[in-house]
Amino acid sequence: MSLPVFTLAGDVGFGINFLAGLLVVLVGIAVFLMAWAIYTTRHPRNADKVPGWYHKKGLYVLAIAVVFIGFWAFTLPFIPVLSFGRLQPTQAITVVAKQFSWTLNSTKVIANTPVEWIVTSKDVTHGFGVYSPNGTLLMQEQVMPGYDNDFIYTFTEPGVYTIRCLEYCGFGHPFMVTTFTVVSG
Amino acid sequence: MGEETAVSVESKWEVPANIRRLSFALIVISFINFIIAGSFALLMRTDQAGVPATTAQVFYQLLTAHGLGMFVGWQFPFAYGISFFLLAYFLKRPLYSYRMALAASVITMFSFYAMLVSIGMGFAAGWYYLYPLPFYSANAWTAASTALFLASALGTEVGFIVFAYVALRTVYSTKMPGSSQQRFYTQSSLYRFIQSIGLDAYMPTSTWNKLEPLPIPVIGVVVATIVLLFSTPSVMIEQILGLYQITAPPFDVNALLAKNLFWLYGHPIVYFAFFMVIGLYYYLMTTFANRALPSERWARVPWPLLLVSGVGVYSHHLYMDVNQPVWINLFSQSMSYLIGFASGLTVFTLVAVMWRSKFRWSTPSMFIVASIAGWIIGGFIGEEAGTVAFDVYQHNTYVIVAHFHFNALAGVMMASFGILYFLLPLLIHRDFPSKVLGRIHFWASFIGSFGMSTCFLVLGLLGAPRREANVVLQTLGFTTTYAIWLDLALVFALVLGIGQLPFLYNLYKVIRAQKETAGGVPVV
Repeated sequence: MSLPVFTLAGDVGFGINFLAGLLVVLVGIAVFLMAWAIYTTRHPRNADKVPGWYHKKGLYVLAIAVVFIGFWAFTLPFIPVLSFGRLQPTQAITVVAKQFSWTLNSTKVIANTPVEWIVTSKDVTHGFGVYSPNGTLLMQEQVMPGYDNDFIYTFTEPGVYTIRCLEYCGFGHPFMVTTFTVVSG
Repeated sequence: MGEETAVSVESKWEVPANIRRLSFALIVISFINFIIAGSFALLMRTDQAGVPATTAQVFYQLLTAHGLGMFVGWQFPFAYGISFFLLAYFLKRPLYSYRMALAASVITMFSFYAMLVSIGMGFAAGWYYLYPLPFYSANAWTAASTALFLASALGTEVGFIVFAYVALRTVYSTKMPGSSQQRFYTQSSLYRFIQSIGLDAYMPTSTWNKLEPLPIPVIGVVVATIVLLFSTPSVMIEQILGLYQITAPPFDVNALLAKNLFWLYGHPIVYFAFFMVIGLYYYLMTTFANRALPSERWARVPWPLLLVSGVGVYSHHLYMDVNQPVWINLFSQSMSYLIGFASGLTVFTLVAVMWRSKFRWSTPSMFIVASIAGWIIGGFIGEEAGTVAFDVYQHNTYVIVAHFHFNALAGVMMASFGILYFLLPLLIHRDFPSKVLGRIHFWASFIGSFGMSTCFLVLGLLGAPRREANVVLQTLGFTTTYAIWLDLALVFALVLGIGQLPFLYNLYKVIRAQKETAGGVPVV
């Protein structure tokens, strides 16, 4: 029995809302501390002495190191390519990218079953980005010429999804857009 | 602590006038290039805000020139300029070779302007020119413009190598220029090297106590230079292979190899001025706070970590390349965290310096403190984007644009203004004529750079792709949500742009001034 995170990896991962929230918290704390440091200069005390909290620097450094290492380990199972081997796609769609269009062998995808995207490029590097009907960026990969660029993903909601090129590939790049439809299984 | 060096230097050492003039000239050139590259950005912002200012072709030419103008046109002369001055000032010795320093500057700048010419000829593959795009222009630019771009880029790297030779020889050479008798420092060359990258902080206390450590601004110059020197051969190989591809068409450079070769250089390049600025933070913050560093040793601890991670982070540009070996990406994620860790240590010390101090608030100190805030915010965004599992939502979106604008614009650029305001009296014995204009410059730059970068962050979180001439597409309904943030970004860009006018006026007046108004004493 695989861990739940492995079935999530490459499918929904953390989601942009989680990342946005995390950023707000981290940046908020940092800005608050910086503002506090600036504020303390309005009321200087012991101006020639090192602040007391600095003497516990070893402890702070250790704590920061633990957070980084913990975060590294925590996010590991969510790395898309590491999860692909554990997912069993039941659909495969080939996509050919070229300046400045996408060609899909099928524009219909069944929801709630993993789909394998096999994406190749005929010319330059493109970016295969998939947006949900409401405009959330769900997944992406670089489409490098000379390689099969595979990505496995499971769509959960029916609707019309957008593929947009996410790597600058020439002057027609902004219009390298197409759609496909996710239907209920 | 502190053993006298073999050469006794005058207690009041003044940097030779030719070095001061060269440094000042380079810094002025860097800010002129900043204004030029910034103007390109303003045009792009105008276009993105829905006011047709360019065609798609011109937009991508501007995109290429803007990145190049900032990373090379602004950064290199600025880094060269402060390096030459800082090395001479803190080491209390002339440069190893003034002529080579001049040659490095001329070669680099000449090559940079030649790259701009190639863009004027039509080349528009981006400053990072992902292979094989330069050779697949869809008839938009010629092979000649690509060849000129690549050949000129090689020129900038040759110029940098000459610079690195001068800078490192100035640090490591045991002989004073013009003298064959005296040894400039007493420690072994190996220990000098250890000191120059901050590794002495990891030595046993008995060893640490034996010798005076090198000033941290010198360490900043050395680490920045070594990181880029280590990276430069890879991009030179990539460019030579590209030039060969133009002359021998069946030959095709592997795209994944080329991408690795480029980013092995293309990421460390952003640390070139950045690490020098970090080195200067220690000196400037202690000066503003009128307080010594709480621990000289701890202040050196981050530097070997920055040296290692400065190169190792490169593959976070390839997280979304599924054919890139995953272990390289995991290594780069580790290095991205390590650089965050080392940055955190630095900020920790800088805040301790500032905490409850009699901090002297002035134009340079305001720029410096604001730049530290920009560095912190940009750093957190970078840590998120540097995590492989998260990059799937952020790669090639405006989140990345926000990251490097917080770091490079709100961080390094703001710092560079503070450094110029601070160093000017030391460089040319003159000070800016108007303090009020300096304050206006600060507030406009602060509001403009932080505001614009915040708009980029929101755009990125909404999923807006970067490097798009048309971010908002009428055929894609959800992209209309980007419009308001693009409009706001233009407003902040205008504030930033207009805010440079008082600075330019001040700079013009100080260049034109005939008599010395400051006797080599910094303004704090």
